[in-house]
Amino acid sequence: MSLLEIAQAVEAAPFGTALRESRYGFPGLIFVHLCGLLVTAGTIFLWDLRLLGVGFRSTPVSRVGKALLPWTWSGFGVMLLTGSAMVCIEAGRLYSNTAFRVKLMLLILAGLNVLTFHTTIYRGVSRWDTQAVVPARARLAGAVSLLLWCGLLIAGRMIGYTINYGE
Amino acid sequence: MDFLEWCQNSALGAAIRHDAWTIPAIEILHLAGVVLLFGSVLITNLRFLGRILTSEPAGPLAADLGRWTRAGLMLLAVTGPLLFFAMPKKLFETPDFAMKLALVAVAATYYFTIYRRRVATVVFDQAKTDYVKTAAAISLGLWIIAILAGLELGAFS
Repeated sequence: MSLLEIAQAVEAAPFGTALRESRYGFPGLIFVHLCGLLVTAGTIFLWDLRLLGVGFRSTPVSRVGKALLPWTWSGFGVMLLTGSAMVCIEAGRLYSNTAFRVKLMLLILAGLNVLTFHTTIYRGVSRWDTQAVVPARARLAGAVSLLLWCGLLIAGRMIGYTINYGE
Repeated sequence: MDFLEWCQNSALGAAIRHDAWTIPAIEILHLAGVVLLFGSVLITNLRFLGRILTSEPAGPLAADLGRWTRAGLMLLAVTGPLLFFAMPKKLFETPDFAMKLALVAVAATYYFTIYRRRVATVVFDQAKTDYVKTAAAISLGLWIIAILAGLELGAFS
């Protein structure tokens, strides 16, 4: 079974079909997905602004992280659940959608950025915790994160404009 | 409904509709503005309510994040009217559009009047006073209601 066939099978399965045929299924999922986005992206933006030295300058970096992270992950969990459900609705059509593919790649890159940051420069945070302007590598991680999340916002919105319903 | 007609037929409205990618681009900037507004408002007011970053002085934190709240609002104040000019009739055909606009107006008015006056009185950590806490709770609630109304408009239409 190819990936496309799997995607088409997911779309045809009862769960996806039921959601697709329910009047409020898709808009409801998008609405909750956007609520999750506000919490996740809202806290990520602020965290990036701290790393870039343009927000929270007087607050230690690790304290900002501890305060924001639970919100970021909660929102992300909501987005993952509602996002997966929306994929079930139109997996077959999303398979060939460029915006969706770009979005998945950006998501992986954002994950790698977080992983790299936490396993390298952030390990030594105690040395630069209180600095208004943090080391260049931490600033870079903030800038990359900000760009990737802007990209995710763009790619996400573009799925709705480019998905081919081909009826 | 003459005003809607005038917006719809204006050169600005036509210019925005002319290229297929202009409206999505403005929508994305609008969403980025909402994200900035929500993130900064959430953190500021959770701090005032004593739920987050309690070891940090509330006054400087509020002043710092307030800049980003207002940056988000600026982005919204520019992109919102542009979207309205492009499709005023379509927007007014969606349920309760006028009421949603009113909710945004109420949240913004409260923020720029009572909320900002009360928050300005906070010098370092006197944020535990009920005076500021009440304003923080009201302002956060008003913003969330206004933002949810906007999200509902975006998701269901």
